[in-house]
Amino acid sequence: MTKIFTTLLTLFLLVCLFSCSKEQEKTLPSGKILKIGVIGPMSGPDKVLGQDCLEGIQTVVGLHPLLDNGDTLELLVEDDKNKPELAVKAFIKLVETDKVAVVIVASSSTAALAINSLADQHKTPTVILLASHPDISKGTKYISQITFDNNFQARVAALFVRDELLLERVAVFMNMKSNHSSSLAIEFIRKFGSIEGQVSDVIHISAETVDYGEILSHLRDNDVQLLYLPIAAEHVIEISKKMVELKWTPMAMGGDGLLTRALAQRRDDAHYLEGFYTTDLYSSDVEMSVHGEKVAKAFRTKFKTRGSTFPAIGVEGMAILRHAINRCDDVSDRDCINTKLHETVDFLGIMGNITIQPSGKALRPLAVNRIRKGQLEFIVKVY
Amino acid sequence: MTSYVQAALFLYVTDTEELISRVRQNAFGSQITPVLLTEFLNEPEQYLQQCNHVVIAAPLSKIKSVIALNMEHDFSIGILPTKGQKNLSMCYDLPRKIENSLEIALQSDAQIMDIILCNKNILVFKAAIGRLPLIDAPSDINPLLAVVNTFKRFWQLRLLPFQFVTDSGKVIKTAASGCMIVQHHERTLASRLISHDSSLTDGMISMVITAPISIMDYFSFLYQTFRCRGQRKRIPRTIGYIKSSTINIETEQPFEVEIDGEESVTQTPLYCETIPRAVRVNVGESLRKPVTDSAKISERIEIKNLPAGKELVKACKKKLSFFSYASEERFRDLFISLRDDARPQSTYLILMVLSTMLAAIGLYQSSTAVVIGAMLLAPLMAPIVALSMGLLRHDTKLSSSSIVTIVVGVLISLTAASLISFLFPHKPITMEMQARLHPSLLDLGVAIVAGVAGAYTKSNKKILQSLAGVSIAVALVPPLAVAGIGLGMGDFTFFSQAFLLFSTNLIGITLAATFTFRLLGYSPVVRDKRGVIFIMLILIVITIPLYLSYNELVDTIVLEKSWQQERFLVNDKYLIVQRAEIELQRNEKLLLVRVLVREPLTRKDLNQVRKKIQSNFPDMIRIRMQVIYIP
Repeated sequence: MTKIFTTLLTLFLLVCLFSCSKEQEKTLPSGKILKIGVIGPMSGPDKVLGQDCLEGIQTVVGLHPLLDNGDTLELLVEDDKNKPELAVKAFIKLVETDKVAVVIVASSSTAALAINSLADQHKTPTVILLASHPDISKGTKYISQITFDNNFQARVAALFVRDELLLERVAVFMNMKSNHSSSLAIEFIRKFGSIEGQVSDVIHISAETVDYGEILSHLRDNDVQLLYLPIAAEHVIEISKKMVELKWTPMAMGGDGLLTRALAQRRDDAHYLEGFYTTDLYSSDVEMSVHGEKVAKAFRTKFKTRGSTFPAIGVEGMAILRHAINRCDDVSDRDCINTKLHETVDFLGIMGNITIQPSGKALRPLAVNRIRKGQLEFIVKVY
Repeated sequence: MTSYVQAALFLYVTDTEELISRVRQNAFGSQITPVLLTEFLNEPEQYLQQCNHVVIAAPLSKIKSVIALNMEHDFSIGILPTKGQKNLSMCYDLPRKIENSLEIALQSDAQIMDIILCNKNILVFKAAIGRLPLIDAPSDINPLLAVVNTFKRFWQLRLLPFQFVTDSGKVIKTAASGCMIVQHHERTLASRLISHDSSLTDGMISMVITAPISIMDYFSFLYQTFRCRGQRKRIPRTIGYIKSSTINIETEQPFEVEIDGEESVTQTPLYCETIPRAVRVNVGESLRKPVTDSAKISERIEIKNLPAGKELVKACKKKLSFFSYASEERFRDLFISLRDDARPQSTYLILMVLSTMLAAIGLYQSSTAVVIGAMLLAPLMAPIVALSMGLLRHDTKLSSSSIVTIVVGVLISLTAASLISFLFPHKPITMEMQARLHPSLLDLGVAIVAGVAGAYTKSNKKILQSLAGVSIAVALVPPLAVAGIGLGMGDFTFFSQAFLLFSTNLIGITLAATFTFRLLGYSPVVRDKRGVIFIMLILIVITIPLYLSYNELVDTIVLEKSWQQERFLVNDKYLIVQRAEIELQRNEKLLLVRVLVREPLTRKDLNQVRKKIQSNFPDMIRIRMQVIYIP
């Protein structure tokens, strides 16, 4: 009798043990599909933006292919070559023809700004991954920005230079044709001036600017201590090369994505950025959140590469969107998805919490890094 | 001034015939008559009438024949070591080059020497019986070869019963792996282990007995052998030494005896005797000594390191164990001291009260110096170390007596500290107290190391004064005093945290000391397995909160450090975090943060900072901010 009782008890305990160790019951597929459109430069000179972001999005969809209600996520990808007119066409096609529930945009500010009014017209929730122009979500209800905006980024840059590097004389390079560049430069100049800093020179560059030698010689003679360079990575590299030639080594600071773009477009010359400061969403050496570690591992397994800023923001954008959709009773209800997106509070991202404000702007920490051996060395995090 | 013989016979064999001309043409004016060795051995008298000095270049066995003749006839011998006779040249301190050895061989001042006979066989330099741990190797052995031989011999080592009878009739029964008789031992590794008090004319036989009782002992002995360069004052732990004019060696089973490198010359039982002043041989400068009056030389027997009594039976029964063990007889003083420590004597009780009072007052004062004074005064370490030995040797009397002493000490300490806490109307929680309220795995680490140090110190009289340092390191009484204060205050958390620290120390020291005594050879095994398992279970149980606490400590340190890289942008004002500390108060985290800022902060700004912190660091429920304005 005792033996039987002991055996039964052991079996019961084993069953309990196994049932406790089991994961929660898996979601069963409902057979329905929820379409999500992805617009970004999948070809052309900026293809790294679109392709990398898409890889991040695919990582999340790979980890969780089903929504909580069992619907399958389907990604429809459109290439806009980072051009506004193509971005608009792609948006209309995805919304009107493909009937997607949400659009994710992985293009830069100029292309993203072109979509701004369309989101409201078509009442389609639109998740902007990379574009950080302060006007991206201006005057619209259906835009959600995942990255911080340029005002925040430029102010932090100005304050860091003034209050932490204790520099007072800077020169700012800007490209007026680029919304991203101009918005960063303008806000930096404003903020730096307001904190008793002196912007001695503002240099407008364009695609035609080829010889930086004369400009840099002038800046050197003008005792400039730091160059603020919110311009395309290729221009920053050219400027750096010229600084080496002139044997002039002032401090330099770039904007978000500088290293990622440099490595994608001019890998052999990326070492010219050694020692440059940058503002970015991430750092190479900051401890990731548990969620971040899990996603990074999945990304490495799927794409056999370590990942960078762009895939990371793709991951975060898709994760936030999935979280919002799952909170809607009807997963295809665009208004609900949009509302839930704007109600995102303290969502655990890869390196910190993300809150999407009702205005559509993201509140999230920013990292100031220094480029060392092709990595973003963490300096400070600003909330 | 060196003088040389006028005439000498050169005894050669076929292999050394080529030396005739070189010996004849010597530069020392000696007249040389070459004689074939066999002819000389057939009719020695005929040749010795011509001259009374012979120079020989031949194999060792032939040289021994000439030495045997020398014991009957009056002549002196000069030796020319040939190729492959390294041991011979080392034994008599002769140069390897013929020209140089010839000079010594022709000198007229031959050294009078004793001869050792082992079962009637002449022994020139050494005789080895049994399995020796490398001591018979030359002192200049190649280190690599030494390592290879060490391991080779290691597998064969085993202790077997031996009986030695000296000339005075002293019978020594022991267990040994082997023994070695050394005639001129200056050039063997054995010479590094025993003092050089033998001479060629003292009429004595020197014998080294090796008895490593464990693998650890064996390697430690070899280490000592190789490390020691000069003469030793004390014989190493695994070595015995007998010096007597005759030695009779008996074994249970016959052992082959190797004499002068020649195997199986004879067997045990082996009777070795000295024939005093039996021969005259020309030797090198280092061996030339005046003739000693053998009557003045007394027998020397040093066998205290060899197994005897109960140990002897154990040693012979078992294979070589990994760790050594020791009998109570061998460490009588230590055991007496431990038994003394285990008893709750009046001095112990008084010191417990005084040290607790001192600790409690020091804790209230937050005076590190006073608390350290209390640590030094506390006698609690002694019964804990005694308990370890009791567990190791399953000495129930020692264990139970130690446990009673510890429990009595703890109760006294808790009571004394509680009473002291009543005396103070205000009950501040000082930094010294707080430091004892968050035990972690690091404290367990300290306890373990202190336990090892405590046991080691206790087992070695020379460093007994270091026990005070161990007491300071592990600090047994202050946590008890804090626990007592907690009881006095009626605060269970306070009591339990401090008592957890004390328990950590107690368990850590007990286990570490038990295993240290085991390593030091106080028992072949941990005998009270049940007792040790019980303590280990307690250790596992207390490790859980310690581990959690340690993790929390690490997280806090990491977080505090990382906070120095945090910044806040609030309403366009830039806040630089200069320092952050996290305090645990009543299970709530309190963040103390010091920020540098250039513009004045409004309440609205501060509110926003708080929101940002709490949004990104949900654990930080309470925040205290110190704002420093910089120009």
